[in-house]
Amino acid sequence: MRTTFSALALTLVIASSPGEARVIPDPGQKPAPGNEVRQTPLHLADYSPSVNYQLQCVGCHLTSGEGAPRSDVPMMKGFVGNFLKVEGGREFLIRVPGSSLSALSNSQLAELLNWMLKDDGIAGGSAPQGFKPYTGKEVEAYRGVMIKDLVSYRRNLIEQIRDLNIEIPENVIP
Amino acid sequence: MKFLDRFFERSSRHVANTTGRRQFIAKFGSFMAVGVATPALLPIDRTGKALAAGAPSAGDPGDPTSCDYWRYCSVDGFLCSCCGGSVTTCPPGTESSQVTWVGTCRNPADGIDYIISYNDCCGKHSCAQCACTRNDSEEPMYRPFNNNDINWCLGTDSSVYNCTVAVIRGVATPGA
Repeated sequence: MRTTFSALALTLVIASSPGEARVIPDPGQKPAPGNEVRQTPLHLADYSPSVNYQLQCVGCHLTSGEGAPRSDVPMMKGFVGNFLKVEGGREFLIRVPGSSLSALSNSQLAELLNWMLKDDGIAGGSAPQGFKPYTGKEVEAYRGVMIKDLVSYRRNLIEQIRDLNIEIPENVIP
Repeated sequence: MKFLDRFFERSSRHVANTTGRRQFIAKFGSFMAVGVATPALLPIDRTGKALAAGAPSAGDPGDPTSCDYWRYCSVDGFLCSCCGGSVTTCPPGTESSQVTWVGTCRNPADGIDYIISYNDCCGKHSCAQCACTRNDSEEPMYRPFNNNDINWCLGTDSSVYNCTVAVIRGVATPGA
């Protein structure tokens, strides 16, 4: 009986190895064809705000800023401009981790925020009329100032916006 | 070994005692006929084979079932094109994660950098075929939105990872 068992075990081991070998990544792997040259770091690449949005934001906030509330990603579409109407909100858009920790340079981040807050952009008219555009200098000043309690900081901003009689959509995650 | 000897002796004697040659041929014949016909008649979804890995073309060179395909320059996971899906579609029975991570890859055919999103397909256990790890656009874990070591099965019904697709979202042209 033991012999049979050993024979069976040996057969299984020999038969399964080609299948298993495929899942181990190859350590001596060459770059994918056409991608041999190292990529330009984003802060040195001269991309437009819309391309930068795709590369740094779209994965979670999605194409038009609709967000993914099921994964705690708040909706920005048609709402994000309201942050400029309350105290601490203007800095919030710089200091929020998605902005401050992004791979963008200060001026690129300023451009991206201005692009996002345009009336025909993600903000969709929610930003105050004729708001002062962000500058690289302003981003530099606030970017390194960490928000210690992000959840209550944001909740406070939302409460202030609510006090202005602005409706808070559910997907904004109040 | 004695066990095997005994086993085969007994079973062949049993077969010789209880069957005739004609009966065997008749039964074997019907078994073969049914065996060949059944798979062709069963209602199996055969579209997977047609969709899996479209043929390479001049503008999109390479084999999508190979880790050396250009779009996989920042992928980390199992390639859906080996798992019953394709470069851009999830295998049947899995759900594509909308929340995803995005990078760029250069197409060797035109030298242009394309914006690629690496959506995970979720809801079935790991496909475990065509493992591919390339990290050209990847950034460290403190930039989680640019990291491919995390499970991107977010916003889906199930967070069980099956495989990854590579979808072109646009073109990354400097100054445009």
